[in-house]
Amino acid sequence: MADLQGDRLRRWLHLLLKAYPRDFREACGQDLERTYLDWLQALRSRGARFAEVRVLGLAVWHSMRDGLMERVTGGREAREGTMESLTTDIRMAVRGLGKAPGFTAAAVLVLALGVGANVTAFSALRVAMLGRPDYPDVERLVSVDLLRQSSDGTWRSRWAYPYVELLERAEGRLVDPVAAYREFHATLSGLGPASHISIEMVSPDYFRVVGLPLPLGRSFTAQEGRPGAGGRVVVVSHAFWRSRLDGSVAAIGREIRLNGAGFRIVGVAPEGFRGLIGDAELWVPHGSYDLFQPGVLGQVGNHVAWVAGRLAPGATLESAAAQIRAIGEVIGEQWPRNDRYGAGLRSFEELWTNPNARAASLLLSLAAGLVLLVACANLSGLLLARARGRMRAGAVRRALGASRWRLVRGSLMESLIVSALGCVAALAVSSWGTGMLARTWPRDFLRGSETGLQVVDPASMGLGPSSVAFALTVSVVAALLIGILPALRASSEDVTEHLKAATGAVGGEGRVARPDAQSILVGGQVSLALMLVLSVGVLGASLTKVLGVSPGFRTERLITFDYSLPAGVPRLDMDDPEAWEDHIVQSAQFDDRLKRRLGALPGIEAVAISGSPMLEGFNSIIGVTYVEGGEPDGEGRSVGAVTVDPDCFETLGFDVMSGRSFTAADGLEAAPVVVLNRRAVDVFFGGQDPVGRRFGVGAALPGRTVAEVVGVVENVLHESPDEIPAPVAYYSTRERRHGRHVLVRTAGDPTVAIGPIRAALHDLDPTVAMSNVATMEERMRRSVGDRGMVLVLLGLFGGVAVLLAAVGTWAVVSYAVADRTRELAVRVALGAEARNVVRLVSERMAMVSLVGGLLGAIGALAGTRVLEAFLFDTSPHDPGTFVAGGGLLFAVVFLAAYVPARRATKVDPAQALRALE
Amino acid sequence: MRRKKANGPEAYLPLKPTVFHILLALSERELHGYGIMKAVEEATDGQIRVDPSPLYRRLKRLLEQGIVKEGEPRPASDSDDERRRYYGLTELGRNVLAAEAARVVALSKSRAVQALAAKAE
Repeated sequence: MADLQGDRLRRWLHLLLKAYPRDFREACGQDLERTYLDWLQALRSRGARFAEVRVLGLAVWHSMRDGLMERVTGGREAREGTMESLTTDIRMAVRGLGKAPGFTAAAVLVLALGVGANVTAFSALRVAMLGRPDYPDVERLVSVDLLRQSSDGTWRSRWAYPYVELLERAEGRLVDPVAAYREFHATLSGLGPASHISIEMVSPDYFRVVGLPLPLGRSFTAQEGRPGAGGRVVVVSHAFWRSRLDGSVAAIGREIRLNGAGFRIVGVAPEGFRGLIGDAELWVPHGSYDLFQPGVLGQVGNHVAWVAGRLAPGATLESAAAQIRAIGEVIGEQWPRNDRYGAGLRSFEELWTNPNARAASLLLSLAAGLVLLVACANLSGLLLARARGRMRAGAVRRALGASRWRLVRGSLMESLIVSALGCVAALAVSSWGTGMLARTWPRDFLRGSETGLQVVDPASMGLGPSSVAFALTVSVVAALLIGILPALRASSEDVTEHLKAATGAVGGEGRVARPDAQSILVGGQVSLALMLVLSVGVLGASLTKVLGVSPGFRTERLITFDYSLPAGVPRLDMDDPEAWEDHIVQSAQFDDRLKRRLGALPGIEAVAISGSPMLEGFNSIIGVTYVEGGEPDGEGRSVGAVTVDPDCFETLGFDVMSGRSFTAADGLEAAPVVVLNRRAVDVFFGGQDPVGRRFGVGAALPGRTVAEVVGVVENVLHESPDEIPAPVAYYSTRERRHGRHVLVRTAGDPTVAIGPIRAALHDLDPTVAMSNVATMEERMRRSVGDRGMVLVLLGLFGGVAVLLAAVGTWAVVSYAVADRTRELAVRVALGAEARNVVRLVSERMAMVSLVGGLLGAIGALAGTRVLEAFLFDTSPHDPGTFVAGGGLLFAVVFLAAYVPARRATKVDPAQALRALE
Repeated sequence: MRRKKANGPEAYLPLKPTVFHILLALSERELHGYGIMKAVEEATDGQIRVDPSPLYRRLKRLLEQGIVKEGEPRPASDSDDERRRYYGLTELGRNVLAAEAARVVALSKSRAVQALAAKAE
């Protein structure tokens, strides 16, 4: 082990030695290497901690510092006392920066943006890539996935409870314990005002799977977990216990009410634990499911829960996966379907993060890196210009005997101080940036893919010690990148040349064709900026397409929210048809009261009730049991079931393509009816008009499963815009119930109506809770959340880069004009045309921009591939975007060059020549 | 302030404390790189430490000036067979060290310095 580390260090040292000049390496490279190793050995034998890191760290620092010094001084001894001259350097640098407050402010700002962007991206990357829940033996945790395999491919879905039971009963399981879990919301009462609360419904072994002991009370018993057993017990989160129950031990045994039913508190969850779903406040056993939706749990085809487990002692991921696949086969045989069931296993490691989140944060980091490079090139250019102004002073100091190293150090000190200031400002920028990211980063983005598992709370994003260390490192690297070129320039050997040049004796004619360092830096900025601009352009084109997908309904001036039924309305009980009917009838009556009440508010145009909020997927996906004269494989597939009241289609502006919409006459007294969307017609009836035919979907009152199709509506977005519309069956809320959601169309600004609506609801019945409030436009934006966020951030980065490139160009051309005022004056005096003068000063700029732009475009062609994961119906090499983005950037750069170049033509020969005399 | 061109030991004075201690360590016996680091640290109770890279920069310069010479590479101990280069003082080196020592002693004898030292105590 020790030797291994020694060997690794040796390899590193070997690499670091390259920083020293060849003669030094030849004279004592090997000995130096050996001495570091001796030192490491001595530190180790003393038992020093992190010996290898310490030695390597110092060796890195030494090689940078001493390597540079050896190269610059060429082995001559620096004469000055180090400390004394260091303070002089700092004093001089501070004084110099103080004399140019504009330059200093600009430099600090540029660095603050450049470094700040990187620190922010780093913080996001850290959370997205390295975020790990703190569960014991977390590497043995697995997600057990139900697979659905069809000709379209295989996808993972939630489990229906009968399959979970089969899994749990399997003998000699290599994944033991296992637990099903699912998220849902209920109305909490009995503790202050009624509120909507996030609950995780779990199997009895859930807390054993997670592996965290409860600090107080107990978990659930097997009996409480059995469906139908009515396990009315609840475990509360630590935060809930602290805030709502005063953190009292007496809380155990107390009763709280969920959707009106009493639940006894039996335990308190570990501090900080918010469930596998990431935001749970309460945990209830699956046994209580029937209190919320009786009968649903036992149904085949009703996919309710995700399953997680722990590898049994001695089991490996491979052996357990093989066994789970075999169990999947059994499920597939027992419940044959067109999309055949199977089962699979994934380690939690594999699904820590949504690959999109990983890709997004990587992308942001890359973009932030580009911005920093642009910023460095930019500042380097500015400092170069400053250095030119100071060549004469430098030349004088050199002539008086100051060593070259001394001048380099003085100049580097300036960039170090600027970047130190920039670093502080960058931390402020990224503290704001990470705060914003934490608020806007979509929760789902940090959810594992195709699982209910929430890996990291986005709110945990923030500036930690590692971010500060990162900021410092980036700043030092930036300082070196920025400072080295100007430092070498300021101290360049050619003393007499500078002294002459500074007196204006040389016109600089020889420099016209050959691009100098400053122009090359601008070319670099242009190419990097172009890469960013093109990325933003391609993403923008994609987002426009996503947003351009017509939702199929009117989204403007709509307020939407969920509500809970008042305490008096009986719960839905699928095992008791009479209670079920009661539930439907009474909730419809309450709906009517609610609609009348809200409709009477000023400024409300229409009120409608629907089973599920638009754009958030379906509350119920239910198996199709019967298709009259339809496609043979229709039965066994599923549809999204959405309940709507008679006003819903009209309020949302659905396009009824055939047949009719629902009316107040539809309901339990009339014959069962269903309206299908176009996609369902395509899937189940092969596109033929199904009106008049019969269509059966489960989860209905006895005798009402099969309904007559009375209408067909156009597809609308129930899920996010980039998904293919799913088949949907609409039912009247007076006949079936799944979920409660209100849509209110207002005459004016919808947000103004929220307050009065809330008050009216409370007035109607104080036990009714209102939640998930949003305008439809907000929901639209949210549904494209990750795309939008990535685009906005990249757009910001791209904007900064373009701005910097423009400033860089402007500065270079301005200097060129100022530098050659005399020469230009002579030319103008001799009758040169304005066009030629402009060409003269901007020729070089045009050339480097063009080369830079070409390189940037090539880079973008290769680089935009990274974006593919974020693109919807757009090629990463979208030619329109490339032309438009390139055009935009060149327009900006051209303008930045033209404005100062134009000034050159305004030179008054007489005045310019006089001023230089 | 310009250095005297003479080639006598005085031309190299005053020595920097680090250099002085390196030469002092080498005056007793030949040492390899890490040996010098250790000797300097021990002799000054940890007050002065030389890290590997600056040490070799110094040594290279001292070699060029003819103050230090290279010995034959040899293993550090029986248990470690890797060869290390040992360094020792040249005649000039011994003279420079002696001159510096004499300079310091003379300085310490000056009345003004003694008065200052007494005040500091």
